Order: sequence, then C-alpha cells, then structure tokens
Amino acid sequence: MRDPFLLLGVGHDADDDAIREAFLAAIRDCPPDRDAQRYESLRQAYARIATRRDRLAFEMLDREFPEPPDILDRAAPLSGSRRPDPGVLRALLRGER
Amino acid sequence: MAKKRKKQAKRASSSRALSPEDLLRAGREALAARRYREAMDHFKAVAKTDTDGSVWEAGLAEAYRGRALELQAKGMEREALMIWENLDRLLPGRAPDPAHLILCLRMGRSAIVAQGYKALVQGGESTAARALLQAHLAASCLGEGRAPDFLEADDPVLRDAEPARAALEAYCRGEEATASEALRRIPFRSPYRDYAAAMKALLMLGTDSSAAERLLARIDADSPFHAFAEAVRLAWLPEPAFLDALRQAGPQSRTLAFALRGWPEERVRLWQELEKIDASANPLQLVGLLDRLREPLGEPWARQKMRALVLAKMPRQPPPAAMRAFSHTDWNLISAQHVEDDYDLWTVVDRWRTVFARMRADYPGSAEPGNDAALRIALLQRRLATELKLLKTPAGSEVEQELEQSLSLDPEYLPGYLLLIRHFRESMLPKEARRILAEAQRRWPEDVELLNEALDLALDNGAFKKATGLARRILAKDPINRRARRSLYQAHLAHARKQWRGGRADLALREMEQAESWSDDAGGRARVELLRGIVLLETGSGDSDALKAACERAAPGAAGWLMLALEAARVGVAPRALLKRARFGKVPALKRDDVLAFARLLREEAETGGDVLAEALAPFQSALEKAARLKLQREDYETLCESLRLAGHALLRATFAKAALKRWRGDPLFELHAFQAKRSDPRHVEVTLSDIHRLETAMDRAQAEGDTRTAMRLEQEFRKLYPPPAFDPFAPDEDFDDDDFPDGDFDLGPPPSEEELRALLDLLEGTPEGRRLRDLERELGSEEVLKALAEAAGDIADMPAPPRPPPPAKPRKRTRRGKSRPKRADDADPDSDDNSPDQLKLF
Repeated sequence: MRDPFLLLGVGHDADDDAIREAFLAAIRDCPPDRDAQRYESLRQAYARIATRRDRLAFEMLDREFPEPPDILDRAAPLSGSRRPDPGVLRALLRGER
Repeated sequence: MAKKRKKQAKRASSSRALSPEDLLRAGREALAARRYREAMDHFKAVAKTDTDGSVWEAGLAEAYRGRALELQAKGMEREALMIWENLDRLLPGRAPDPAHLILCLRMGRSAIVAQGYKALVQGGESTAARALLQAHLAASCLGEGRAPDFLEADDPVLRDAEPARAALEAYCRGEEATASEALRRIPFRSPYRDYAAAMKALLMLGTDSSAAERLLARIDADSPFHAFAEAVRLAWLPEPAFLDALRQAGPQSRTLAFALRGWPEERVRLWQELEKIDASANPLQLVGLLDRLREPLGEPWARQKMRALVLAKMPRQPPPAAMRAFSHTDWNLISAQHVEDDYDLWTVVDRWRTVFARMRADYPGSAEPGNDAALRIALLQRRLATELKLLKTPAGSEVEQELEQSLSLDPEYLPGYLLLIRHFRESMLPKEARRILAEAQRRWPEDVELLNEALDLALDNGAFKKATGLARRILAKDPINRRARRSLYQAHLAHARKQWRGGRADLALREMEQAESWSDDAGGRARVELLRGIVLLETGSGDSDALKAACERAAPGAAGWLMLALEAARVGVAPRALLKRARFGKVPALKRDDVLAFARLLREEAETGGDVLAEALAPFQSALEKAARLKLQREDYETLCESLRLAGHALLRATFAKAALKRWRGDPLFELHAFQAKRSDPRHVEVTLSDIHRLETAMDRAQAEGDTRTAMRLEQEFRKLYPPPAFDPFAPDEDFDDDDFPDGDFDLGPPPSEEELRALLDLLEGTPEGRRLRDLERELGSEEVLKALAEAAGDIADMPAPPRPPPPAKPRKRTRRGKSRPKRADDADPDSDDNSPDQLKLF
C-alpha cells in the first residue's frame, strides 16, 4: 500500500483541513466511476491519516513495508518532465529498444 | 557437430526412400507443422527428380522463407541472410520478398535493397509489400539521419522525411507547436504514418491518456515504428504499472521514459539499486538502504518503515543498520507489537507498559495533556482495549488503569470516555461508570451518546424513572433514536420484572403495557407477552393455554419453550417447574429447525450478557443431547458449537463436537471445539498425549486444506500449552536487576548416578547433543564422558542461584476495588519448573 501522505500529496505536517481538502481534490480529479481502484486507494489513504490521532497512530504502528515508489518519491523526487535527446528517439526509430 | 550431421543424413535418407508424390505430401505436412528444415529437404529431393518447377517451387520458397524468419526471430540474422541468398540461387528471378529486403536494410546491404525496392515499385502488384518496405525505409531514414541514395526525388519516403525530421527535432527542443505543425504536413498514406501517430501520442503526454492509447493501438507489431510506440506507451503508464514495465524495457525506452517523466539521475540509480533487492523474499535487505537514505527519506518515515521491516522478521536478529538507527522506544514498540499475536496476555501487557514508561521518559512534555507526546501514549494505552480487546481478560484491571490514564493525557477524545463507561457498566461497576460519565458530561453536557450511556446506567441501576426522563430528553433531540426507544422498552420491561419480583403484579402489568408501546418489533412484543403470561399464571389469573399460545407466537416449536424458560429464569421462576405447572408436558424431540433456533437464542442471550442460560437450558439438556445424533449439516454443527461456546456450555458443546467428529472424522474445526470444550470443563484440565496428537493432526489438516482461521485457532491452543520465548534486545539491561532477587542456592538434590547419566545419554540419542556426546564417548571413552557429565551436574548443584525472570512491571491487584486478578491456567507458578533457571549449555 502506498504511503498515504504521498498518495494524497500532502506533507507530514499537514493538518486535518489540508488533508481533507487534498482528498476531496484528488477524488474530484479521479472519481470512482473513472478509476475505481485509484479512488479506493485514495479513500484508504485518507482514512489512515484523516485526524491528528490517526496520523500519530499511523506513524507508530504502521506495519506496511515501504513501496519502491514511496522510497523513490521521497529520496529522489521527480524533477519535472524534460525533452529527450534526439539521439534516443533516433535509436528507437532504428529499432533499438 | 557430429550430431547435426547425423540429423541431416537421417533427414536426407528419409527423403531418398520416398516417391516424389510422398515427398511432396511430406513437405507440405512439414510446412504446416513449421518444420521448415524438413520441408526444405523434401522439396529439394523432389526438385532433383522432377523438372516441373510448378510442383515444388512454391513449397520450397515457403520452406526457405519460414526458416529464414525463424532464424531472424532468434536473432540469427547472418544465418537468416544466408538462407535468403540460397533461396535466390535456387529460384532466381522470383519477386523480391519484403522480409528479405528489410533484413538487408538492417544489415546495410543497400544494393540488394535498392534492386528489390525498384522491382517492387515497378512491379506494382504488391502494394502491402511496398508499403511495408517504404515504412522501414522511412524509419531508417529518420533513425540514421540520412535517406538512402537510391530513392527517386518524388518518392514518398524522401518527400515526407523533411516534416518528419522537423517534428522530431522541434519536439526535442520543446517546441510543441512547431512539432505539431510539422506532423500535420505528413499525409495520411505516408510511410511515416505510424511515426506521426506515435509522435502525436508523445505530444499528448500528461493530458488525454485514452486518446494517446488509441493512437498507439493503431501501430501494428510488424511496423518499424513499433519499438518507438512501445517506448511512448511506457512513458505513459501510470505507477506502479510503470515500475513493473520498466524491468522489461530496453535501455533506450527507459532513457526516453526517464526523461519524459522527470526522473533525475539519482532516482534512476536508486531504482536500479531497489531492483537488486528482493524485498518480498527478505525485507531486511531494505533496512540498510533506508538507513543510508534516512536524511532524504525523512528520519521519522525511515524509522517507521524500518520498524515495519524488522517487526515482520522478528525474532530474527535485526541487521546492524537497525541496531544503529533505533532508539529504545523503537525497540520497545517493535517488541510490544511482536508479542501481540502469539504471546501470553501478561507478556503483551507488560511489553506495552514498558513502551508507555519509555515514551514518558523519552518524550519531553508528555505530561501535558493534548500535546503530541501525550496523545501518542494515550493512543497506545487505548489500543490495549480497542484493537487488542484485553479489557475482558484477566489483565482487564491493568488495561482499565491505562485507559483511565489515557483520558488525562487526551482529555478531548470522547470515544475514550465512552469506551471506559461501557467497560465499567459491563463490569458491573456503575459507580466508576458514573464517575467517568460525570467527567465527560462536564465537557459535552448535551452529547446524545453520553446521554444514551447515562440512560443505560440508570437502567442498570434500576432508576427507571430517571431512565425514562433521559430517554425522553434524547428523543427530543433525536426523535428517531432507536437506541433510546429500545432502552425505554428495556427500562419498562426490566421495571416490570422488578415489580413482579417485589410482589406487585399490578404495577408489573402496567409497566409491561408501557414496554409494549415502545417496542418496535414483534420479538420485543412477544417477550412482553411471555412475561405477562408467566405473571398471570403465577397469580392464578391466567391459564396454560394462553401461555402456550404466547410461546407459539414468540417462536414456533421448542424454541418458544426456550424463550419462555429464559424469561422465567430472568424473573426468578424455575423454568422446569413453570413448564410443569403450565402442563407443557415432556420436551418434544428436537428437529433441525429447533436446534438452530436454540443456537440463535443462545447467541442472543450470550451477547446481552445474560446469566440465566444454564438454568433456562436445564429442562432441554436431555433433548439437546439426543438432537446431537440428528443428521445435521456440517454448518449446523458449526453454528451450534460456536453458539454453545459463546453461551459457555462446555458439556453440550463437547456433545455436538463429538457427534460431528463421528461423521467428519478428524475435522479440524470440531477437533478444536472438542478440545476447547474439554479444557473448559474443570473435570478435564489435564491435557493428554492423545489430545496433543489430535490437535497436531487437526492443525496440519487445517493448513493443508487452506482453512487458515481454524489452523490459527489450533495454533493458539498450542501456544497456550507451550508459550514461545520472547525477544527483547534490551531485556538484560533494563528488565533484569540482580539486586531485586536474593541470592541463594538451588537445591538440585544429590548428583546423578551412573545409571541416571546413562539413561540421560539414551534420552539424548538422535539429538545433536546426543550425537556429540556419542562422538566424545568414542574419542575419550565412556568413563571419561560420564565423569565429565557428573562433574558438570555437580557444578550446577554448587552454583549460586542465577537471577530469576523479572516480576511483572506493575503489581496486578485491583487496587481500587481490592480485587485480585483470577489465577490463569497459564500463569507462571512460582513452584513450577517453568521458573527454574535456563538449562546451562553443557555441550
């Protein structure tokens, strides 16, 4: 299961209101009828950190293993899309995978 | 090589032995089965005897083509090219094959490509072949950055190359509008059509994934732009599908995806490192990585995840990184969580209390109610009652204390008060419940849930008028509050029982009318009717027929009788005597529906905490024992055993479990019920070897059948019999204090005799220690070994007493009410062998 803070895109110091807003914004972008699986993960993430007590309990009692995307997002976050070198596209067009 | 020649010779000899017709047929069969080399041999053999090429030429060409493509698919392009060349030699002048030309293009044989392409363009009969080759020429033109020099000036490959190249370069410079404009200049039927589709999908990145996917889906697997399209698709994938697909992707596809998704170099390196770690097989491998990356990951998060990893592999020795990184609180948390599932109750409670003590010491300001440190402790304290459900265990008093302390640390948490109030009510401690209720109502005077608790407390206390007032107050706030209505019904019914027990049948009947008016279901009204029937019969104003009719309305058959018996027991009327007075006669033989209705009633009564079950069941004991012999379904037995477990009726539970075992021999679930029922019967506290064997067999079977729940329940029974050792990395430093225990010698009796030592050797036969002793015996001789053993035993006897295991963290007396906790079967007995020092390592 993904880290709920990363999934909702909020910092660890976010308060109840900020987390609720992030959750509502996320489900507005991805309502259940468009992507039920993502909606369910968002819902579960929100349930885990909705209140201050939930967040403290999560921090102390979390038994989930770290997911590779969580480690990557935390330790080396994305730096913004950049354009590829034309050489890469040419190599792919030559059939090099 | 010799083997290959042998195969070739075998194929050739088989061809020689056949007639031309047979050879042709065999060749076609081999072609259909994709045995191209065999087909080639057969058709070549025909060619030697038959000069009419129309018979075998097509087959031979197809066999060569098949073989060449087969080799190409294996990456053996040189060998494939040789096959094509051999085919050209065998059948000169045939139309060029685009597959051959595409291979030549890839291998730089431009003369052959030029010749073949010219033939295809001039021939004009194979549009698809020409289009395919043109698409490959277009891809080559873009990939190599230059066009083949044999193309005519008006060739579409050459003509559309300029906008295609312009789109690529503009895209890479980030000029999306220019790129789109260039793509628009590529006609629909251009050899660059697939390229244009892939580029358009690339330009859509991050916007409309379904439109992009539709564009990419148009590109066939044999298109020269397929690899490009696949790379674009990879870049589009959502996580975590992207990470999975990344493993299969080639380096160029990855580079494109990394750039488009904004992966910095350090992220790529970290991903490569993560790929080498098989976290599912060994999660501890991740601990070192998390430790190294503690700063970028965030210290609390890294430790949180490291704790999860170490906890999952407890009690395995944690990696050094964890030993370095964890604080005492971390270790205490891990240790407490580790023992939760399998260890005995007191270990769990003690470990958690150690955590609380440690946190109080570690977190400055934890005494200030409402701050994070205080909330953390309060959360864990509540957890003993909520998640671990330890309130109704022999450690309930300790958990209760923790729960009460949690209120002072987290006073703004209403569910904490409700939990404690309900617990005190259920524990028949109304005074304590009222104290907590008063505290809570000072903060939330009009809270409906608290008013509901006040109502229930008033009912418990027999303050029916107060209860009625509270219920009306709740209903004024929340007119459809079912709980209040039900409480009012129960208040009047309980009051009616009280009035009847107090000899006021008139007032009891009036209360029953009130109860009936608040009842919102037929079951509630039936219960009132039964009570009314009892009261009227006992006062001489009713008759048995009316009571029988009330029973029938309450529930058909014997279940109605049981409802009557339960109601009679509640008002202090002996059920057996009542049934006799009302001339109910002998309890009829129970049918399946009756026993299932009994199971439901037992569950309901057990859930409401009723204590009249044994008395109410007494008249039906014999009928129920007989009913165990009915041919019930497996799930019926399961329901009955479970209901009887809840009702605490060990005898009947054992009866039904045994009856089920007669039909489903060795069924793990019924073995569990039979064992637990036997254990809860005070006459059968001893566990025999046969019991253990049956438990083991049942557990193995449950595991083999995938019945995890029963397997776990059986395993818990085992753990109760043989609790495993606990792991606590700080135990020697923190929990043990030699000064707490007086020194003294253990009296181990006289040193063992030679016979006893020999018997010990025999007992150890087959164990590692036994084998080592036998080796020593062979090496040093029997006498020396026995002497060493005797000396070792003497040393033990002469040793001062080693420290004993520590006492529990806190005294386990119910200080407030002066009750001591009940003794548990699995509690350590100070006189038992369990408390003796660990066996010294002699070997």
